[in-house]
Amino acid sequence: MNPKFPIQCPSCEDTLTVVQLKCDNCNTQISGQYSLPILLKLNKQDQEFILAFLLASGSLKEMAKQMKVSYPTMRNYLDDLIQKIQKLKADED
Amino acid sequence: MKINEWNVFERFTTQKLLSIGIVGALVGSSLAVFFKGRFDGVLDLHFVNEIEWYQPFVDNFLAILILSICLFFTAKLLNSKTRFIDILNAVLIGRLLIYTLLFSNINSFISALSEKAIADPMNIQIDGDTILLIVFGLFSLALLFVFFCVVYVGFRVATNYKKWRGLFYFCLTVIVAELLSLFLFTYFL
Repeated sequence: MNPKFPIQCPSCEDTLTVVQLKCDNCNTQISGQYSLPILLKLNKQDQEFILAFLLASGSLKEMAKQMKVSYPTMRNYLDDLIQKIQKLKADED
Repeated sequence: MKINEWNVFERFTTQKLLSIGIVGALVGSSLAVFFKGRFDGVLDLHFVNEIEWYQPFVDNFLAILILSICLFFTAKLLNSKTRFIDILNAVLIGRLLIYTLLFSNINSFISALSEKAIADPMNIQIDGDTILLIVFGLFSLALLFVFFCVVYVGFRVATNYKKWRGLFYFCLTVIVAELLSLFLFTYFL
């Protein structure tokens, strides 16, 4: 089983932060407070979209063909995603 | 990726929508020649007694072009990334509904009923024919409403404009396009 990476607090839905990291090789553990990179703050569907966009060399037409949806649907998804990332970036700053 | 399965503008590719729309427009224009219908406005369909074979094709072409250009102009103001072909597809697909109204004039049925009602408008009897004409009128209005909805859905997908103001701008643009087309059809065709 591949557990789903949590990006939101299940209790209050706020953004989560990393407080502990561990080396699987020597078991060294680091504690602290690190914010998640913006890409990890996106949901799984958005992350998969970005991956597919990269693999399609940034061609929305190609992606639309692969996913069997119309071109404007793909472009609208990208535009919404850009807005989401800009908001996350602004929140971070 | 989640899409609305019922929304053809999200599901079908641009080429597929364009092909369906163009074939539909050609079939619709051919039917208009057969049933003597004229598309003399972006929202209009009038039945006439005499028609030249080319008239419905020219009417339909101009009606599609005027509505597409007007909507594209508004769409560009709402979202500069909007493509003309997506707006054109919305108009082409929406107009498929208008073509279905042509079948009401089989054997000049609606023309005859309308002429009878227009001949003596002060003395209309509530008989079977009048009720049929009223039913046809209501059906036409319902179809016009669905036409508006279909074109708006296509317009919304093309512009990705989600605010309610978009609907207001859309309706305003269709009314302007209708007035513009009426002016052009009345004075130039």
